[in-house]
Amino acid sequence: MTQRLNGILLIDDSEADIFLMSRIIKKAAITEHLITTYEAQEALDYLSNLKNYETSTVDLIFLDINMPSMTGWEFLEDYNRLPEAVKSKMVLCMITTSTAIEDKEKAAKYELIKQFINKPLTPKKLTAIIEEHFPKIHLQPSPKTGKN
Amino acid sequence: MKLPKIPKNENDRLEDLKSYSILDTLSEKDYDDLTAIASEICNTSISLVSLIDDKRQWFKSHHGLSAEETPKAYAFCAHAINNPNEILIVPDSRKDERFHDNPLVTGDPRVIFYAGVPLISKNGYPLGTLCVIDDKPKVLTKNQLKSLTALANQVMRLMELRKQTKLLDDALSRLKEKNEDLEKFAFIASHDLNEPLRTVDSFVEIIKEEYHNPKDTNLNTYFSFIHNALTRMRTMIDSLLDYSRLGKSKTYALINIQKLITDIKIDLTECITVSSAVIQQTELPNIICHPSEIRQVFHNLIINGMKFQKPNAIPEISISYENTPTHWQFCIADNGIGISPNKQKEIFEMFTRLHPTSKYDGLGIGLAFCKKIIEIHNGNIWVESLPDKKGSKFYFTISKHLTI
Repeated sequence: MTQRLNGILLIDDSEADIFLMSRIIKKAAITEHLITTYEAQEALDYLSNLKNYETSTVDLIFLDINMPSMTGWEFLEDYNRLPEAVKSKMVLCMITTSTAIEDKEKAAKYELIKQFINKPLTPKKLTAIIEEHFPKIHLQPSPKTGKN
Repeated sequence: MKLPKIPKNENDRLEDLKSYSILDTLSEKDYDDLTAIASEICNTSISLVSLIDDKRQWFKSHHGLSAEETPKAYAFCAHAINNPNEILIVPDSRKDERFHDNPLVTGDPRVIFYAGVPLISKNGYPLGTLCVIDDKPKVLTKNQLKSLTALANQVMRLMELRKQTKLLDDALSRLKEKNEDLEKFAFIASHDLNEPLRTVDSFVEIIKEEYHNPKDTNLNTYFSFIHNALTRMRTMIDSLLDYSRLGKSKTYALINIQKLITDIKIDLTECITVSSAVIQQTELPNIICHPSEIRQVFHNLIINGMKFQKPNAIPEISISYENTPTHWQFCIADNGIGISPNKQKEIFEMFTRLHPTSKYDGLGIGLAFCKKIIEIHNGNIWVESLPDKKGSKFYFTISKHLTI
């Protein structure tokens, strides 16, 4: 049986982007659970309420920057206060439309941010992240028709 | 003692006085010089620039008197402004029923002699006077009065200048604010437009992936139109974003323009070879400028010179410069199709194109970039052109006062 991630958490206020990312992640068949939220606060609440960190359901987080009410940067401030046991288990990937160099430079200063990618998420970008941070996960060869 | 009458249209007059923003400002040498001269010419101990406010007279300049203001009720000048076209002369106030028991006459500074020339604003309101005062009776000669009147005119000139400068400063700071808003707007608009564009793009890709049928030629035509429009729009949005960022980082350096042109020619090797273009240049100077942005200007203008040509023509481009006292002035001349006089301003605006894409490809952004870059360098850009004759000459200037 193929080994998969426990869970991937998507935080993005855009319905279209959640749809597109979900589609790619589902096609890649790399995770047991896919959790999606349109608000950063909701994601924080979810993470803070995880009972048993050992069997945490989230391994990988995709976080958007530009969101109303709580931005990706504000999310990070609160996320940082989570217990080390939780944070160390999760890979946080910032994903944004921002072509602004300032955002990329700012992200580089956060140790919490393991990856910074520009939208859209493509199968190729997803593969690269999995290969880098989850070497044990066996990836299925990507279908030939998909756009990389 | 008689109280001064309230002038006609007093509210409008006070409003006019306020518009000079001069009340309660610090003393200024320009005004003090004029009162000193007035005292000297008229041989009096005191001279004032007095402005009549609502309840007081306030002195912009007070030569020979320490007070900065006195109540309006005692002010000689408040009487003077009621006959704006005349000089109020009081040879001996002790014999004048309007002033004989005025505390300023009976006590210090003992205003026995008074002569005041009304200061008339541009809008026709008497704002106050330039006056001379002494503690002895006095008679002024015709020439003294003439000089006093001339000095009063100078006081009014100073005040008008002050008002104009203030209006100009206000307008400038408003303009600056608006410009900053506009730049922010361009940045935000282009940044936020990217998002829906990318969504459309992504879903078009999904439709292609899931419903693509190589045999459906109509569908493929539609897709190619959508694809082209999206590509074009993305380029436009990216250009707007780049445009709004121009000049953000002002890192100037001393640049050898001669070498810059050589580098650009290397970049354009393919284009030059294909069109057999001849690019000539005179010896070019070293200047302080924003390196990558000035490179962009030369690059765009050289490219344009090669591009806007009659079919099969061999482009000839020559680059030269002139050393003016304040600026470096460059000229890039070509033998192309030229630009009609009524379009020579328009071409520097964003997304302006004069020809259909089928004839000359492009988005109409190159010259808008050039213009903004040159403006950042405190210069000008313009074109001289005679259509169908000798091509175009693009000129631009770069200030010599930029510092690294």
